[in-house]
Amino acid sequence: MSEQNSIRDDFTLIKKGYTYFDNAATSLTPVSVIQRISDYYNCHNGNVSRGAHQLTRNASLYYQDARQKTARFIDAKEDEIIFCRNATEAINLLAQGIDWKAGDNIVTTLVEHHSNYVPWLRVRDRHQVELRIAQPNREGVFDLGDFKKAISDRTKLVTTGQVSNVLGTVNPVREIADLAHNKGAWLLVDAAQSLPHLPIDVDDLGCDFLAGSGHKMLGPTGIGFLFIKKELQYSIQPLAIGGGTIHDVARDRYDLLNSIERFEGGTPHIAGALGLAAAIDYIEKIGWDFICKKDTQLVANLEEGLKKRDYVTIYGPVENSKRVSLVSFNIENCRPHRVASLLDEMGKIMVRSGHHCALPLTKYVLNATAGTVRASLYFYNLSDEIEHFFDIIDFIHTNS
Amino acid sequence: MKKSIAFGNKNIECFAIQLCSYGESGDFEFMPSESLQLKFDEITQQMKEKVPNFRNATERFLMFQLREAQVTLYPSGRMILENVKPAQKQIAMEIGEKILKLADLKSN
Repeated sequence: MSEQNSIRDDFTLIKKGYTYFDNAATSLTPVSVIQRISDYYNCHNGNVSRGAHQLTRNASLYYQDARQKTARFIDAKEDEIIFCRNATEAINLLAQGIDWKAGDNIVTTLVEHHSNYVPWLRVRDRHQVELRIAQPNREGVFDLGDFKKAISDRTKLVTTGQVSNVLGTVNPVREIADLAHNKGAWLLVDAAQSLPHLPIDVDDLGCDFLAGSGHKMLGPTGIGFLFIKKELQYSIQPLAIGGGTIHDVARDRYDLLNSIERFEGGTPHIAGALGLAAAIDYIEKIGWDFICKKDTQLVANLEEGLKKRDYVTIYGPVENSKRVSLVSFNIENCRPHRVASLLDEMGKIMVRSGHHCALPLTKYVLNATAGTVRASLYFYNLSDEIEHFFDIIDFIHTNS
Repeated sequence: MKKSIAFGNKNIECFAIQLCSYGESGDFEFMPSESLQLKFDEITQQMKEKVPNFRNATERFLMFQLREAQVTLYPSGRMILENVKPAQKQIAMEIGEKILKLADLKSN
């Protein structure tokens, strides 16, 4: 309990009395991350690379260190990590950077966040590429046969979230990777929701690309990354070129760098990268054993309590579900935004309501036309907070 | 979107933002820039008389329907407006303004 209390002391908003169940949108930020960002601006505020003064040197070293830490966090190599704004930008970088040929196909799923869905619709429309969409069952769960059917010899890319941002379900990425690679396709994993909850090793996952967002894993907003396997980097065109990406420029031509920096045009979000590194330090200090154990306990409490209430509809698998500490639900006769605002007003409990940027899933699979309420927890949450949450939803049900 | 709306003896700046919703109807939050400290024990009766589709009243919130919109009103003047048709901030602002007028003891 004392360990838990000391963890909670690291988060200012918890100390201010918020019960924060909106971690899938953005996690809270520990003071050490805020301090690291503040230190950069106060003590080392220089631009990265190539300058000869001490501030630029320090900024460059810290930025390099942030890239190393991010790489190590997913068992990648330092020169396989591109910093960008977020997972959305990472996915768009790939969508814009692959040399698509008419007749190629892309395989994605109906469960994806818009960030891993809409870019592929645009690629389809611009490049005469076929988009194949794996359909889950009514609980949002996939049969691998769905992927097997969709992946063909003309599949260039298979792309899937590792964890659904609406259902919390964990997809069998390793098996999907094998199916993709057997047909010569690449695999992109949208890890925005899995990075905070699961230890990730890109080799074990078998992915060729992996996208992540810092702000969902205790880091600041505006920083994310794309992992690109080293041997594939010359198959992908950078999204933005210019300052920082150049080996040489002549009057009528340019040569890009041979390093990962060719993908990071312009001054990067240096403070953000340092903040992300501090977030990784924090997660590693807490440890995956604690995080995973807490996740299992929290989601069990949440599921169990919701299941007991016959006025609640839970979305996603109800029995033997393998999910992170995230559950979407609705309360009978009460629309999602009303529920979320009541939880806020009556209990200072923050949850997300709506479609969670996953309209194909909420419309065509869950049939939740007004959306759902989503409670997404993290290791700093308490069982007592869940009990308080249940008291309020009981009150909402009785009084609406 | 923001608009200055008369309430009591002063003008209050109010905001309307769209919540996650799609299609022909939309969900919105309406928020005065300062708490109006509505006293539901004093205003509920007059609200009930003027709003035909009243759903529920507690000390902490009122729920009713105005036009097609499902309204949740809090003592601060914050409102959740769901199923606003058409899904426009302007319409949400009009509904919010109308509700504030109904809740304003000075204007009734």
